[in-house]
Amino acid sequence: MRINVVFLGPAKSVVPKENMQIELSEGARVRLLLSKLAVSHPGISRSIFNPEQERLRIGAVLSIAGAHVTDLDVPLHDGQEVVISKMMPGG
Amino acid sequence: MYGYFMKIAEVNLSSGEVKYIDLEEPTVRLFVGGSGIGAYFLHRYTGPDTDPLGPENVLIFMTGPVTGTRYFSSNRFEVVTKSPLTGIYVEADCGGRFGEELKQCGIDGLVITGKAKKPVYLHVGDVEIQVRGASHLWGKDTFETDTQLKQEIGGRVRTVSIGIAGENLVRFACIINEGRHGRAAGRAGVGAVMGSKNLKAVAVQGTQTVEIAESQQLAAFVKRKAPEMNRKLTVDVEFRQYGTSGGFEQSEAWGDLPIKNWYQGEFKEGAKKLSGITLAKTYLTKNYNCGRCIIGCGRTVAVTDGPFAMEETAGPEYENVAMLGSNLLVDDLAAVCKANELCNRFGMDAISTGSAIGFAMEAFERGLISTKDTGGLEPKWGDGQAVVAMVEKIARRQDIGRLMGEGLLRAAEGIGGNSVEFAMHVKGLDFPAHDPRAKVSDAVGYATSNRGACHLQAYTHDFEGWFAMEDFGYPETTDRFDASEKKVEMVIKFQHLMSMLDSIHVCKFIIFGGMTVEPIIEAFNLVTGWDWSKEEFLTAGERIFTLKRLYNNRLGVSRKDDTLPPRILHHPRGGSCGDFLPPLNRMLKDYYRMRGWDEMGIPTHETVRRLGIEEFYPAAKMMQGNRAH
Repeated sequence: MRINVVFLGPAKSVVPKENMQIELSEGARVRLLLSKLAVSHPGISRSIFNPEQERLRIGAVLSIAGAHVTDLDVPLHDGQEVVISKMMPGG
Repeated sequence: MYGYFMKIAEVNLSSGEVKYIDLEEPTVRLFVGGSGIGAYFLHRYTGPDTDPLGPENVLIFMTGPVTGTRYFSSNRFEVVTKSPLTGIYVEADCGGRFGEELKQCGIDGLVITGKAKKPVYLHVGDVEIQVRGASHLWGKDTFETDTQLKQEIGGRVRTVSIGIAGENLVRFACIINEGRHGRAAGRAGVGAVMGSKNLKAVAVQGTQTVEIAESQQLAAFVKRKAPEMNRKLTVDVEFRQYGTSGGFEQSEAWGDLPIKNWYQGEFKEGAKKLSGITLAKTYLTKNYNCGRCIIGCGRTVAVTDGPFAMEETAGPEYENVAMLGSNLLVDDLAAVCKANELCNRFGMDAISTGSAIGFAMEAFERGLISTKDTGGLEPKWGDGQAVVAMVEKIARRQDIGRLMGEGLLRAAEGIGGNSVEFAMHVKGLDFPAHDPRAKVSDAVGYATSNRGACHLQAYTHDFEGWFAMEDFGYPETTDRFDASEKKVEMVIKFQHLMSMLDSIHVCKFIIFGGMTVEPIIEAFNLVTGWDWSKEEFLTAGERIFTLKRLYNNRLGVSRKDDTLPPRILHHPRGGSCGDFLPPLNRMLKDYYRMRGWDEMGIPTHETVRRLGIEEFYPAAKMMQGNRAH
């Protein structure tokens, strides 16, 4: 299946382009998507996803279909859009 | 006592008299410093009958025990007074470089009473305090005032000053520290109080060093922690690179961003154009660090050409970009930079200014005001030039600016119709740029904040969705729509912690660099030598928060005032927030019960006794009784 990944805000600075399409096998979960991205883009492992601990790094935020996702075992579906962004203190 | 000079200077501008008041150790142990001791003095000097713009009001500048030490981001001070915007307690916290210099004058704070016959400024030095003429500065903006005072006085001097907004008694005028670097004691009209006293500026020049308990250990602590802090703030959170508006697009995606006076749910392309990333690529010239700060989240910007050209000066922070940008559907970052620059020059709170303009734009759209009221100007959504023109009209009190400068409560009364429905404030203080429909902790946080709608008295919104603080009982971030008792408890705990940060005096952003509760208490103990436990530290925070509440209770504040604007309670925002609306009534009920307050929002006798502040209790109960009859 094909997943559309969109990078928002400071997360854009760690990848060469703001939008990517990633091929994954059916039934793949968010964790696998992030692991795959971390292998191909060192900036992702440095700033977004810690591949050793399989955890999001501080400030990294994921959304699927507009909903905030913290559970990395959420299954993905063909054609879904995953938004990856980084937050920082405001105010 | 370590960390203190145990001395407050009191200046009576009516008589010119200067005297020094000794701080008593029990007072310091109870209220610590900063906003805590400021609130204590406000109780002592003012009450229900005090006119905020009358000579009987006091303007209090306070430092904390950590101010002037080597601890991270500790060059801060607090301004406390009775607000002309809200008529209740206000504190305005500020960075820059004034706080440390004030303390180096051998005092912990400055209490200013009375009213000068002519414009004056205060020169505060090691040996004496002089009231000096400032007629030649009256009418000048804060940048010119800072520059001129530094030239006149010579040597190392730090200033705070007001611009024409403070002189013209705009009820949300602010006090600017560091001139063109634009650090603001921003909220609820502290600059108007300064203007009402004919006080143009305070210039400080000190050379004294406060003694601290464990100087070498504190130095070693800072040296040990600095690399970790550096890493967290540049790699984990890219704060130095992009400043507070770096998360602007995510803020929009979450529905946290004010858009069209809090009516609209989405502004995707606009958010992209206004973000800290765009700012870094366009107008950012360098970072600004407050004193003792290794973060450098402050922006310095310049716009070289076009209708919004401006020389290099302080750039807009997240709140200012949101309130002067997306809130008004303006997506031109140059226009936002210009409007922000004018707010700083004129000395006007950018949050309230953006809120006032949003209110005026909606009133114009709904036909409640017309070009007859605005001097021909059409305040239309998305028009950057109209925004800049409106900023100037408010500061100069021209046309509609006369009414808008009175603040939203009075403006809604003046405009009438249904305008009260879209006046976005709590207790008269305009909403800051975080939406309780997106981060539900802000619902109860804003409703109970002691100065009106304020995101910093609880500062929980960053802990809903992305940040965590393990040593405070939050090892994982929390669900932003969870309005359970746990969330209410979180607001209460954070109000206590933030009360302490505003009292010992450090910047709240150090938390994001790893200076969480335990390292903060460790540093506080190294400064004071007190050896406070976490429980003692947070109980002091509860005491300080409650003291401010009791002041407001004395003035008649109760459950009826702890509310949110109709738009937030009844109008779903849409976008990623869907139909969610904050269940404020239920949350408040939990909040009062957990705090030990009665159903009217007044701390019970038992609560006040537990906190050791009974002397402030009878007055609060008495006033509630009087108002009820």
